[in-house]
Formats: sequence, C-alpha cells, structure tokens
Amino acid sequence: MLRQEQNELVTRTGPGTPMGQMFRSYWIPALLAEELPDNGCPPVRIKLLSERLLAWRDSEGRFGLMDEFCAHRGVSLWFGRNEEGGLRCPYHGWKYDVTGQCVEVPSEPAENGFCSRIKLAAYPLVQVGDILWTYMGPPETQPPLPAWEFARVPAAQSFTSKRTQECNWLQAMEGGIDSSHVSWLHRGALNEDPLFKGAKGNQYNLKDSKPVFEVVEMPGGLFVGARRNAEDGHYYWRITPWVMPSFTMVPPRGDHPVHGHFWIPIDDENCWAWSFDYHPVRALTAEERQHMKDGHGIHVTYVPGTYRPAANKDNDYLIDREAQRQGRTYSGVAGIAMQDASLQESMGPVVDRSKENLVSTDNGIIMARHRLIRAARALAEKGVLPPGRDVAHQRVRSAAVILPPDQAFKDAAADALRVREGVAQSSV
Amino acid sequence: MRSACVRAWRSLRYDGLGVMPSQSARATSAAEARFRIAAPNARPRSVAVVPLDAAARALLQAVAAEGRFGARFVALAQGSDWLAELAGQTRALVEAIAAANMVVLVATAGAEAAGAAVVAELCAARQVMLAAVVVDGGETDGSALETTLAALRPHATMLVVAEGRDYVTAMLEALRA
Repeated sequence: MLRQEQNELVTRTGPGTPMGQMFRSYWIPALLAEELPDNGCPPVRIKLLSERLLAWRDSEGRFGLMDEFCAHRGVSLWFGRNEEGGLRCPYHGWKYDVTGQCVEVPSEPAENGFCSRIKLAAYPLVQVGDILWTYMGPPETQPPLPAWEFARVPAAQSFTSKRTQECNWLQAMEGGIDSSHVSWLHRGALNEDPLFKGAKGNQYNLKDSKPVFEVVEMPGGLFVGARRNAEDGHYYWRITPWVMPSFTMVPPRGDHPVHGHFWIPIDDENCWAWSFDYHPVRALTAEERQHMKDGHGIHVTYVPGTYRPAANKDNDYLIDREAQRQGRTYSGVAGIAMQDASLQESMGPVVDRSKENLVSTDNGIIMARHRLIRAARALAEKGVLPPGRDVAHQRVRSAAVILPPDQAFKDAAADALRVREGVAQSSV
Repeated sequence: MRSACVRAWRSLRYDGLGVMPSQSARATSAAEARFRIAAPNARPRSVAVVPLDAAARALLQAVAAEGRFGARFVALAQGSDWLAELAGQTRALVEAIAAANMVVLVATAGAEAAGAAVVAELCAARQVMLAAVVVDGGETDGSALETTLAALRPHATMLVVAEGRDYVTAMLEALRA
C-alpha cells in the first residue's frame, strides 16, 4: 500500500508536480514518426504530461512541438495552414515557426517588432528510430538523445506501436514489472501466440507455475528475476529490466523478437502504452511484422483512424465468456495487451493504493515505487537529476537464461543484460 | 413533455444497450469511483521480521524504535556461536513464526545468514511465506554478496537486494507490517 500523499506524488505528472518534474527530465516518446509523414503535412494534436500540444512538420521538414493554442485569441492551431516554413493561424493570420516563435502578425507593421515578443511554449521534437521524442524540461539539463537499443537498430529490425490506455500511467507501468501475473493472466498465450510459441523456455514456464523472484537494484532502476526449475538442478531465469521512470523489457523467448514498453502520461487519468519489438541482429520477417500489425504479441488492433484499441471499455473489451470457460483465454479477453489493459483500467483512473494488500511477490512493484518517490523528492528538493538519463542506463537488455543454482543472475548474466552490438539476445 | 423528460432521464441512467453505466466497463470513471465501498477489505496481518546478522539487528532495532509497525521484531543470536545460542531463543522464534502470516528475513551483504535455514524450516512446517531482503550498501564485493544470497536463495520465495537501508522501512510499510 501507499499512503494517500505518496500515491498523489507518484501519480500526478502535470506541470509543477514532483513526478511531472521528473518526467520532464527525460526524452520521452511523443508520436510515431508515421504521424508526421511528410514535409508540410497536417499537424497533430497531442496531450503529454497534462499539457495540450501541437506536433507538426514544416515545409522544410523541421519538427515542432508547441502550445496548441494561438497567443492572439486562443484558437487551436490544429486548424492552421502549414505553409512556407511556418504554421499560420487561420483566424487572423498569425504565423509561428517550429520553435513557437511568432514570425508574422499581419495586422502589425513588421517594423515595430511586435511579433518578436510573441512566443509559444515549445519543446524539441527529434526522430530516433520510428519514434518522435520530446524533452519537456529545462534546456540546461537536457540529457543525451535516447540510446535504447530498439530505437537504434536499423529500421528493418524494429517495429513500434502505441495505444491509448484509460488509466494513470503508474498502474499500467506496474503491470510491466509484476512478473507474477504472467502465469495467470497470460497463460494461454505461450502455446498460441505466433510471436511466443515454440520456444524451449515456454516449457519451463508451463511446468513450474510458482516462480521464485529476486529483485536487484541497478543504477538506472531494477532487474526483476523470475526463477523456475530447469534440468539437473539448474534454474531457468527470466530477467526483466525496469529503467526509470517507465521503461520495461519482457524477457525473450527463443529467437522471437524481443519486446518491451514505455508508459507515458497523457494526463493523470490516461496514458500512452508504447510497445516495441526488435531483433538485435536480424531483420524482422514479413510474417513477424504482419503478426504485429494484426495485434499479436504485445500489440493491438485499433478503432479505425485512431490509436484506441478495438477492444475497449465501451464494448467490455469484447470479453468472451466461452473462451474463458474453456481456458482458451484466462480472463476471457483476447490478446496480451488488452488482457493487461482491461484489468488495469478496471482499477479506476487513479487506483487508490491505500486500500491495497500487497504480498511478498509484489516486491518489484514496492521497490519501483520506492525508487520513484526517492528520485522525485531528490529532484524537487535538492535538484538531483534522476537515474535513467544516462546512456549507460539505457543500454540494457532483458534475458532468459539457464544458470547453476549457486550463481546470482545479476553477475552470472551480466553480459546478457547489457547491449552488445552484433550479438543476439540471450534467450532459451 | 413527459415523454421528453423520461427520455432525458434514461439517457442519463442508461447507455444505448439499456445497461446501467455501473454494469459496464465504463464505470471506471472518476465519478463512479466515489461509489466504491469504503469498508476495510482485510484484517490486520501479522509479520515477523528476523535479522540474520549484527548489522541487520541494529538496523531493525532502529526501525522497531520508530514505533509505527505492528510487526514482531524477533531477536536471533548473531555471533559465530549462533547455533549454540539458538536454544535459548527458540521459543520466541517459534511463537513469532506461528503467529505470522509472513516472515521477512533481513541480512546485510556479506553475512553468512546461517540462521536462514532454521527459520525457513519453521516457516515451511507452518506454511508461512518467507521473504528476504539483503541490504547491500556497496561496501562488500560481489562474492561476499553471493555468500549471503546463496544462504537465502533456497528458502525465500522473494529475495530482494536493496542498496539503501530505507528500503526495509518502505517494504514493511507497503506490506502493512
């Protein structure tokens, strides 16, 4: 459980909040690159960290992310005309560049410099991989560009999707480090999902439904190890890294692509669930990529024209009681992503953690909250920049390995848990 | 006029399928959250906390002195002759574990944690969950940490390696200890 004031601290990410300040210390995923595909294309309205923003790409190809509303009368610039290196408000013709600087106010003489005094709040927007990333914090503490392996491999080796999730970011993210739910909620997926099935490691999962857990702190966050019995007294370890504030990677299965998530607050009651798949050393096959587009693995299908999942709260997530009864899905909801999201959304927009009854297997979640609270307070009270900004903290991998019983996974699998250029993931 | 009022009332109370909002997944709104039952959903749990070395004992004494935890902090001999001294402490240990829903072992990195096996045997006999925290302040090398982990790994269903001593407090609070 968390006390109410602790829960408020970790869940509120708007401007001026401690956790909001912390999120504003990182490069965070803002949009898929496909959302701004061409120079001069239509702008996109987006809300991040409780700020209404407009993302756009000017006629010269420069990306911008700025206050959605015109400084003149508060009109949404989504209606704007994207023309000649700027975005022009259609109401009275005020024009802005990608930095939010007003460059033209037609009603004022250019000579009086009025427009130079008008500037909308704006943040950098850069493409790394197939994602447009933004940094919404003070310019003087801007970290190096994102170094996550999935975003740095060649485009043919990676696939990223995103979906809206209608709950606070933390309860969504906590699912990513709650390894103990996998044996229940997702138990049907190992034999059925084309992006999981066939791996030898699946058999260890299915034979041993009561894993033992080890949680180990690392500079950027945590490693959560789930241990199951393997042959000859050895252990099968599935190791999940969590890097602050909201990055997780799922341990791999066989030679299937590796996947993971970011959870980014839209506001305090909604978040973006970013889902990526990549292979460190080979291109994704056409079949794998199609499976991802079809909503297999950790991806979803959408309400057409949106990033809202097709199974959502308005249709009770298309729950299939017969599939539940027969055990084809454990909860009756299809697909790993929506199995998680349906339950996490059912907790309410911001779950009241003062009513929880955690158990010892929840220590990964307890530790993550502890780290978040500690880092947010250190930043707010002492200006200490939080973990997870350093390139070294981001060059981590998940792993699935078999180890002798007397070896600590953090040391014995140290190489497997870091990015090694040109070396495949460690997987069973 | 009356039928218009009825339609308006229905539109407030029902969705297009004739289902009350609280009967659908849409009832996860903040407005509906106020109808969640506020009654307590669990009785207090009993947690026993056992140190496995002198530094852990000192740490737990400080935690117990805060006076905000209902957990039972058990003393366990920490010296090299811990086994000989165990007999005099067995009753308190057995009573604590018998009354516990959960036992938490606390050790510092490098400790031999030899008492873990005894506590684990008691827990297994009474089917009590056993978790362990190793506080690793970075003063010891990896092999010393591994000594401690190896002593705990066969017994604990959850093993945590925490860098800071403040995690013990945070964990006990999170577990309602």
